[in-house]
Amino acid sequence: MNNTPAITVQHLTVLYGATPVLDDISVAIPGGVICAIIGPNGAGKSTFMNALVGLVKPLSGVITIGGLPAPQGRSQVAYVPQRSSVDWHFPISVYDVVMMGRYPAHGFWGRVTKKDHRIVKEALQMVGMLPYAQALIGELSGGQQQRVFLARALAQERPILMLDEPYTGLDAVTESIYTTVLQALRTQGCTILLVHHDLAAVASYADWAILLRTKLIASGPCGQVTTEPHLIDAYGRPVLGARGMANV
Amino acid sequence: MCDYTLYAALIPALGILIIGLMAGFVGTFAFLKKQTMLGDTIAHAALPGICGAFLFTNNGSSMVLIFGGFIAGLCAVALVTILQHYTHIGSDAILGTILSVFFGLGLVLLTHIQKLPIAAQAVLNKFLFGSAATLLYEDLLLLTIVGCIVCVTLFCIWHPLVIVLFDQRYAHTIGMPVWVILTLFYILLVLVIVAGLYAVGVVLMSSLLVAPAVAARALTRSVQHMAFCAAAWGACAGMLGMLWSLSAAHLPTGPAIVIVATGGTLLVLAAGLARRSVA
Repeated sequence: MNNTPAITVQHLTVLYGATPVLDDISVAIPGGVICAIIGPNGAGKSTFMNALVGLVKPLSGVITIGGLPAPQGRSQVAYVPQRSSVDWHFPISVYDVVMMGRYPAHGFWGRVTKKDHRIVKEALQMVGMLPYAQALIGELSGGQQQRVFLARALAQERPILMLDEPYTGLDAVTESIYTTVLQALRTQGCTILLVHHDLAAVASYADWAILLRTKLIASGPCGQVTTEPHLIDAYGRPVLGARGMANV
Repeated sequence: MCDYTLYAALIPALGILIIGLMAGFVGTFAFLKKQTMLGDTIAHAALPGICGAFLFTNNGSSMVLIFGGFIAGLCAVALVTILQHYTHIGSDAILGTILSVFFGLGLVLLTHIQKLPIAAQAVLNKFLFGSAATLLYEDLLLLTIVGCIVCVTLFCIWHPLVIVLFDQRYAHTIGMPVWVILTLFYILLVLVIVAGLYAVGVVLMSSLLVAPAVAARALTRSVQHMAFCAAAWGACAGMLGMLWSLSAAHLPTGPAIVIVATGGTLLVLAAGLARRSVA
């Protein structure tokens, strides 16, 4: 962890129609941490991430990423979307999906270089998907598909990685690979933001947490956020317990 | 005499070849965007534009009529996009409504024109079911220009378009001008459909977009191969349909091309099903 904030958000408000989904959120996320965005269903977790990556237009607020205003700062972010946003029947190979991560680096009309091929292969190797490089994306299991999207984000070589519900519906192998890769990236100084439902598991992989329920309930080191008073504020009742219980 | 007959047959053949190629290429992307019904809406919506251009200019040249159809097609796409964006009405209802309103208006204008004492009005009937055999040298020139514009633009936006169609949210996050790319694609779609109307007709033009793409999807494993396969099948089906239409008396080109294209596609799908059941 370093003391310079990788991301700062000031007075962020997002409306869906006339209903506030995020109300006056202000947080600072330090660099080099794994930060979990937690909260009950409808708390605005995914909306918060969508606002950071520019998929949702806020009503008000200032977002700074890597010291730059959001529009410029987003060039430092790699994003892994939820599974539902992708057309799984599209005729595209695993290799070509990961190569999409290289287009921002060399431009859409630039030539794919040897370096691009090397980076794509390394990314696939890191997530254990190199043997499936020529398979179609629709031929893979859900867990394998998630690994391909992590590889695409790795191929972007950005210092900030944002993942929207990456652990939802994962098999044990993919979950283990995700955790290993994310820990390795943190060691290299990357900042990682992820939306997650499983409160019991948060402390085992995240250093930092942001607890939301439309408004900001708490943010800071994980142990200071996932305390009983804060969780009661967010969920309306005590929720910590056995792993898996907290999917509320 | 022999040279003249060859020349007269060569122009429609080349024209339909270009239309089939363009329809296969652009139809692949419309199929992957799940917007094949939009093609049907554009084709029907072009009719009031064609009739309006005829009424406005009293000119039956294909350049003028196609320009009118192009404007009407763009208006239809703009209306569909606005309604999809700003209302909660389902896409099928929006497309059906726009298609009916525009086509109804087109038929009203066509009926009105048919009552006018203008000899050139006969050309408008050919836009309903298509008449490739009457394509002229000027039409072929226009189709060649449109074909070049479509192919060059499509190759320029190929990679960004594939990313947008596969994962639009990701495209946004890497700063791609998604709106610009989709707008360019819709312009190409309208251009191809309107350019093919004279040969295939408003009623059936969308089939020439869809059928080759469906067959190509069943046979290939990448967007690139799919697009080239669909273009090849579109061109072949166009030629075969036109030959059938020329050899049979009073058979319009549009239905003949569509029956060949769809028949071939059904055979490909049936062969795929049979192979899977054997495996």
